[in-house]
Amino acid sequence: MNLFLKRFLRFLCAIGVFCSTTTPSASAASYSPEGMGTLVFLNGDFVLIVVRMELWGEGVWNDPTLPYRWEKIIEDAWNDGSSANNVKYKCYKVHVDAEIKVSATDRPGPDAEYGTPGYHQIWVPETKTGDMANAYSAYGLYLPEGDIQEIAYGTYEGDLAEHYASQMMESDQSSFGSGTTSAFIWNPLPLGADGEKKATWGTMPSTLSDSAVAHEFGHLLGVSQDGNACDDNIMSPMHGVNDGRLQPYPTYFYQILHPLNLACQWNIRTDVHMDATAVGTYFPPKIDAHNEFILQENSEKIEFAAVSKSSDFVYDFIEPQFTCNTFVWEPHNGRMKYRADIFYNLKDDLKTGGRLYLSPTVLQEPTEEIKNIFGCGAQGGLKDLSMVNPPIHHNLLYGLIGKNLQATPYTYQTDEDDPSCPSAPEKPLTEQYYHQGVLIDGAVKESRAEHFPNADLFGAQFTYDIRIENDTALPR
Amino acid sequence: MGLSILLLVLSGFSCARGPENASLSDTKTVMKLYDPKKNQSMQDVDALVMKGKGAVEEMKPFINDKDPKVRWIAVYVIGRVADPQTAKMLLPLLQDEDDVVRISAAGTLANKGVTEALPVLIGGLDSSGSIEYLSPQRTIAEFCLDVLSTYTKQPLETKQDWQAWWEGNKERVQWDEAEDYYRF
Repeated sequence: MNLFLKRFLRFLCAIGVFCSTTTPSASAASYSPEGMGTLVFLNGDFVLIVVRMELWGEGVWNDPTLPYRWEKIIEDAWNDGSSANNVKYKCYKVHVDAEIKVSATDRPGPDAEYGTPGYHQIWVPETKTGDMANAYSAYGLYLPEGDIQEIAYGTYEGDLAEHYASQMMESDQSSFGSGTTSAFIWNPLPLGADGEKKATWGTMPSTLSDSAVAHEFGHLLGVSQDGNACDDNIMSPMHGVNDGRLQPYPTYFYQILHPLNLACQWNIRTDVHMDATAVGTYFPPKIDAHNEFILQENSEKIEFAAVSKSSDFVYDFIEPQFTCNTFVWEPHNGRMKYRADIFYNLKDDLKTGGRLYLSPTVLQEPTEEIKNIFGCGAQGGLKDLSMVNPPIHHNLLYGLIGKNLQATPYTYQTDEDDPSCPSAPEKPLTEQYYHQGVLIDGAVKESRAEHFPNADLFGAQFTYDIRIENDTALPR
Repeated sequence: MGLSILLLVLSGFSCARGPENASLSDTKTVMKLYDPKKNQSMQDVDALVMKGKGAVEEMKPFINDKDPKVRWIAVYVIGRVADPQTAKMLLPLLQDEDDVVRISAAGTLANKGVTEALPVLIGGLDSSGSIEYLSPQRTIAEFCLDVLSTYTKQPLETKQDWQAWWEGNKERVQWDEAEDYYRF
């Protein structure tokens, strides 16, 4: 594009015309992945996020160790420790890989066009401790001030995705699998983007602290400033005031990955146990029961409320003998249906993939019916079973939905309005989920929770155990 | 109507002019409008740095500007591009009434061997302020401690300790140009 045309386009922008075409819009379809620098590869339940940076300037040319140092800082921070697969997003394992290359020392100038296509262009000026130097966070070339565009994503499906993944993956990344779906992320708001040259660029001075390097890299991942975070969260705009912690916050991965519509399926089992204890004239038996169901995210909805089909609530055991009596019981199984919301708020959720909050719907109540009784309470059987047949009394769903339970409330912290600080103890906030449903600590296989430990149901001890027996990434 | 279109066209071309071609008045506009939260603003200031030593003369008049933000940008640019001798034009700013300007000048002069910067940095160790023109911001106290520790290799923490160190060594402190630190 010649100089006159460039200036004319800028002029049109200045008077508020034509900006939507000269400025990259949020429509991902209009962008080429080349030059975007941040890519997502998906293979089954594995997500590989690759961020490519090309560094240039005296700061890196005079310090050949800098790229290796930054790469380690970035990968350690964003993988929540140094080892791979530390980060979980629902049922997915997530790995962040920083690819850093250095421009030749004869690079003619700062413009992105002098860099390698497909890499974020980072000027690394040589600075010394004590110099004033801004960093990457607020750069942007063609975006109007105050623009609030969201992250733009582009995805590739089928053969194109495979071809794209095979072309873009480096040899050391191919061990993660031959991606079947890929995407690019482009976040113009904090990054700045040279839409004309299909590249993002900014400045990261050579003296940036470790935490500031990790913070600026977060923008390259597509994460915005976190104005609600604690000051020492990695994406807090105040990061850099002090050399803070390198704790990434789970919502940052939510921000990166949620728009990709990654969906999961969970095989879940609940086990209910109630001890027998006589209360007054009632004689509740010891009961074991269970419920198995499959919970599946609905990928057709923007908000992924996961739902299950109806499933049986099955009696495994009803104690036949109690005190000096022998009972004849007939179980009537129930039917249940669940829907779930997924929380991904707390720092612990990085390791567990989030938490599932399940709201049950009772389609058919399970009951235990006394058919007969023998022993000391009856000579040849009772004619009137009212004393020992409280028809709803033993209803297991009493426990499930929490009616009449003197239960120990399940403790969980929600922090949508008040995020938990990595450096501070997580704030205890008791949510009485037993009024509405149950919560599983984690969204990956083997995650479990025990609800109502030591709960008291008319004197009987009641426990409710729920666990994920298997998790599966759903094909997109 | 025709006149307004002409003015719009001219203003469009004026906005499109890059800092590399900027006149003194354009540079002043860049400095006056500087906002570390704004995209183009940070880029324009770094474009001044990219000019290298050629930016020093351009910045010189702004050392005495009445606006502390403009004086701070002069420190930003001169500190980054000037050699130690030339950077001494920032010495008057070690007495600047504005904490951010004074401390920032002391920081960049300290890394060029200007001994007079050290007591200014020690004075900032108990500050509760921040260098708000910088993105990301830094607290003045943390910045001062970082610079002092780096260039004296002293593991001191409190202002009192640093003052005692300075009083005991100020006559002997010398810049070691080869090693980039103050020996005493």
